[in-house]
Amino acid sequence: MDKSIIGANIPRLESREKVDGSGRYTDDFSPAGMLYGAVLRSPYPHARVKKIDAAQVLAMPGVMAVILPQDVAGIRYNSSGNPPSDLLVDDEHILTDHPLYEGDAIAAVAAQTPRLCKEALGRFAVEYEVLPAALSVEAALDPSTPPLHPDIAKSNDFQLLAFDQGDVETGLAACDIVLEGEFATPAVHPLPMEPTSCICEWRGNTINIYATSQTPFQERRILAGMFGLPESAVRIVKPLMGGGFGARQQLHYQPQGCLLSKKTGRPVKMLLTREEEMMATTTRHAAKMRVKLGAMLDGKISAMDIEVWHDTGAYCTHGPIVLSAQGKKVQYGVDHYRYRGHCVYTNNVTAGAMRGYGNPQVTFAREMLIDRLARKLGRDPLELRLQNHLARGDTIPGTQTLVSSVAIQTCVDEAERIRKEVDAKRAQPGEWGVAFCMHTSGPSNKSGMSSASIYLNRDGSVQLNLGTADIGQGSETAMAQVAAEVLGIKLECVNVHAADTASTPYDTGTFASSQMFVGGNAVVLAAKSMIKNLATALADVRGVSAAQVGFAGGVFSLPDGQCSFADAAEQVLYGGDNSRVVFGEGSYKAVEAPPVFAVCLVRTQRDMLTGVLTITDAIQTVDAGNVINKNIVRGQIEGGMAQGLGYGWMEQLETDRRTGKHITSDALLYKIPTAQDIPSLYSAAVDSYDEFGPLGAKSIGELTLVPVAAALAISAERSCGKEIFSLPLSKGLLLTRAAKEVAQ
Amino acid sequence: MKLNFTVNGAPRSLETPPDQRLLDILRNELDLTGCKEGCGEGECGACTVLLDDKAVLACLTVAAQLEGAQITTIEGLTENGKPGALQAAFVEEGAVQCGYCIPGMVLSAKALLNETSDPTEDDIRRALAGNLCRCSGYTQIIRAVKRTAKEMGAE
Ligand code: FES
Ligand code: FES
Repeated sequence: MDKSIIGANIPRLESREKVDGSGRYTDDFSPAGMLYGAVLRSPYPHARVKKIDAAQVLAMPGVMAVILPQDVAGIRYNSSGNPPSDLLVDDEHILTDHPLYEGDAIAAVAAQTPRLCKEALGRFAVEYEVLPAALSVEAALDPSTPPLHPDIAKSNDFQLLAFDQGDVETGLAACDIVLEGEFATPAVHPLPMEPTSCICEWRGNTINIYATSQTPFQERRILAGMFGLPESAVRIVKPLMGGGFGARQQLHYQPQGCLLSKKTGRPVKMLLTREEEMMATTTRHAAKMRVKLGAMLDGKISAMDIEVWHDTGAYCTHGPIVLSAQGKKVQYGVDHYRYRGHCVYTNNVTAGAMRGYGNPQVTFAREMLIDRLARKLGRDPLELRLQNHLARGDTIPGTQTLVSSVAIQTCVDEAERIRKEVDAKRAQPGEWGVAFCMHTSGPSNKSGMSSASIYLNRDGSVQLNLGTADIGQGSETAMAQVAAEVLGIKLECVNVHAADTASTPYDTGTFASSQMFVGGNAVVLAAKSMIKNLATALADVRGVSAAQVGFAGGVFSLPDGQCSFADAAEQVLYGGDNSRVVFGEGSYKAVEAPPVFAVCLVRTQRDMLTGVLTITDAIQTVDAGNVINKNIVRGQIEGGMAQGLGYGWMEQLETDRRTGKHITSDALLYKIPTAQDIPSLYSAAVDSYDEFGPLGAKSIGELTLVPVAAALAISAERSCGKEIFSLPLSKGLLLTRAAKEVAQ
Repeated sequence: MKLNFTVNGAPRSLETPPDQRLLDILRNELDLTGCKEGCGEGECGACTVLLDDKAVLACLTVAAQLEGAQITTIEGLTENGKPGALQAAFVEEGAVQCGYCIPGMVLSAKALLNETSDPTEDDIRRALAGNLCRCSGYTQIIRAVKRTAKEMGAE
């Protein structure tokens, strides 16, 4: 491999336009004649709209159109950007007269300015009948609570996901030690810095959309179905995107924007306010978990029993698929495993996809219990986990998935090495919390699919077209590196065009940590097909047989000498009678979803007088396969650590129990870590290689968030000597970051 | 009202309502879309620009406060079409991920470096505490600022 391209610290290709302000995000586009759209939202978590009168709105100069629930009555859909699945319930409306959460969409308006939109929202005359709201899983499951969607499910506990291996009851009965606990994790918001937005233009029989979109091809499928159009009539383009973290793996307000555009004949921009973002997009599922762990005195963990209730909010969206993914994340070789996941409707904010997709919740509960087991047995927490860890060739409990590569020992060794260095610097005593986690590369049901095409230019530079959407993580740069490496050309010679349903080939979507693994494999195939096609064309032009043309390291060999990639391109394009245009194309359907692994250590120290816990350091080492770009991987690890620390420490969406009103309605009331909160971070990606990965790479996207809250909570539990069962820790403990620490 | 002020060194004069946000003036009137809106409520720092060399939030600053002011936006930091020192350091250090917070982050750092050429890590963290970044752990950003300070000191 060319070390100057693969594994290097290459600055990302799109950083330049982001750092000089010239890069364009959705809100930076304003097509001619554009209007603004806004959504009238329910002020109550559960109500019925008895009457709605838009006369005063329509009378306002500058208001161009209004749409009401009766205009879209027949349409039900599921907004999730997953490929089609029987698990996904179509329970959403474009607009509803029976709002099921505070923020549910009731009407929409298009006007000439954002100011007019805001004013217009205040002039709808709506009469509500306020209904009792179920604001927790417990309330939703109470037999006296009516089902939220009686036409779809008789119970609010509307889907059950199950995975089994062995016989968990017998397994637990045979164990020397059984530990159990009931754990709870909060609903949290991904809070991408760029607000959710789209610009929709319905012209004649076609729709053009710019949107913050992780899954343009799925969104196109849903919209085309909804409006009875062929998919070719709907074009979705994802411009630069200010983060997603799962939240944009679905449609948000594109349906309303499209209809407003259809009605006005003009492009309509829908731009959420931060408050709407908090209440009317999607969150990570709040979870209640009952976990049992059975072990022998020698430390062997032989049985694990996990039952989870997820608060999916008012609508299904991703709910059941999140549970399905969650049940497949045990990285310890237990003989007996039972997982039960309940998807429960409530009148809370709708939950959807968020980085980790069910994994952070169970990893927290499981790792807490494993740490207690280590203390009970007097064992080192790292070593106890290693003793039970899956090895290459093992099957992940409850699944048929084989572990194709695992470098967990190296992760532990590297984490230990860093820990020793940190300990040497710390004067005060502190406690380390340890947590492991495993995620997958691509969807764990292997539904990931991606494709790429490559166009060759005369000078040997190429145009790489990708379906995958870079949402800020840097996948476009990584894909360009992979193409350059396989083609044997310079990185500057690869130009990437991506995530435009009209001009790039299909991709399942940016989710499930798919980009590097699934998208990268598609790029490898496309590059190989380019080489093959170019070799064949070169043979024709030079009048030799294809078998006589070889290729290695960016150079073609022919019977009469060598020929560089660029020379070959020139000869083939302008080579007389046999000249032609050469393409490469590749489609990759995941046959494996190689697991990735992380080891996280968080250190806290407790002030004996005040009881305040100081978070001093956090370490994370990962096995993400062969690293394509160190810069990107480091950003992913540290960013995941910051989000994980936020999850463990301070983040929680809160609703007033009495009124059902959102409390955490903006970025001040909902706290995420600032530069002053984050402790010293240490990260490393260890040497590893996966045979199924593109150039040996696995994925890194979600993994790095998953174990952090658990490691923090374990450190806190060890520091305080009090068992912890719920997140965030700020609900019961005082925490702070150590000032005057050195960033590494 | 008639507003006369300077943006990235160029004098500007325009007709605007006095309560028009600086953010909208920059983005809509002057097409300086590098100034980003993350919340519109002074919570996220994405809209940070420099007003007379101090960092301010463009979403909370209105036209009436701008008469005679010198505004610097992210577009104004490029030197002869090349990224300025801070911008280049952000790219090199891998501090730019989704990039949405970055213009504001760079300008907050710029305001800090206008005040002190040798900031401590705590100074940097404090100066950036009003700029939320959801992609990073801030360490690459902090390194980029340190590196720029060092390079400036060496000059
Ligand atoms: S947009 Fe100004 S602080 Fe967020
Ligand atoms: S780089 Fe994405 S928010 Fe900072």
